[in-house]
Amino acid sequence: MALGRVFTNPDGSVRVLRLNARHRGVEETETQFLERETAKQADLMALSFVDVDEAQLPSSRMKRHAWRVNPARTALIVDPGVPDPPHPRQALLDALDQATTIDQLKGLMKQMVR
Amino acid sequence: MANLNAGTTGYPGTLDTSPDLTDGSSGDEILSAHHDGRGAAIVAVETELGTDPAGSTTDVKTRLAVALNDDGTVKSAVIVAGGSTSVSYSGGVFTITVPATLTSVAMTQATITSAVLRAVTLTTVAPSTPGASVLYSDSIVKGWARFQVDGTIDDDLNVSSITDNGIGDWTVNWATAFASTTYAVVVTPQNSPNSADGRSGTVDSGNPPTTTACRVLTMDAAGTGVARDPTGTNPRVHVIAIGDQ
Repeated sequence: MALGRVFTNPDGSVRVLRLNARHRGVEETETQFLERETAKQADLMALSFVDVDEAQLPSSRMKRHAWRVNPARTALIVDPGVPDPPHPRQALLDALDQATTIDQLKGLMKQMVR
Repeated sequence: MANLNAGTTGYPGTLDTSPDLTDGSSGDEILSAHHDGRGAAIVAVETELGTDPAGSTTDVKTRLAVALNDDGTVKSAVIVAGGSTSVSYSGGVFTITVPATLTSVAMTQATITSAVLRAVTLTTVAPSTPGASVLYSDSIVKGWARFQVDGTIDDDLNVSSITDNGIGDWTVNWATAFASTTYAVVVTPQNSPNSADGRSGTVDSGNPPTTTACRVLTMDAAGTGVARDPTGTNPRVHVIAIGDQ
């Protein structure tokens, strides 16, 4: 079993620390190794965390934005209640939906190929 | 093994014998072979030693004592490289000490084998105008990794862990820290050629590198400023860092 450390951001999203086993000290426990690596990132120090078996991490990153620590704080789950993030060009897509003239469409297409 | 009394020597191939001769009426008759055998042995010894085996010292023993200990091992101060350069030897390790003013040390490739040259420590940083084809402490790669989008490391140098911060967003943690935060990092995604996701790699300017970690992003091709994972059949992220340690 390999442990990963899951940190919870203030908005509930998570960051997952994955160890490189070959850098673990001879007499170092996995938890000690996680502590050592956590200390390298100051922005992680203030976050709550839970250590989980890496085998229990979600296998797909399709819903990476919805990864959350479960309420019991024992596992990492994909929370179906987390909405998908908007498309990065949602404003452009909305403008395409609302376009009613050829000139408007031409203008939007020029933005698309920029 | 040859009998010197027979007029020949087997040296240096074998050691000779010299049986005692006896005097008196019933003793041995002195023959030329008796002298010839000893003469041949002396010539064989001279040939084996060569000319002037003591060199500039008083005798061979003195000359050997310059280089060898009594047990035949090499004396630590025997190799003198000239000037204030010295070579010492202890426990199977040669240490070369050169003066600070020395600008280069030449080693021929023939003297280096993987069995004896396991690691080289460079301590000299490059001058303002680096020499051509010269290796300096700040001109070698200090860390690299190829990792999967979930942070699993395929292979690395000096990368002890990866933090998966989210889509297209990772922190690379260095096993041995850099001396400053001004090291250079190259990030590039391994991506499906026709994918718009994760097409370019960048160091996160919003979270600049520290001596112990560097946050990297892979961005989409649309220039929206949104981080995206590389995609395709074998998505990976490649990171290389060079700087002072």
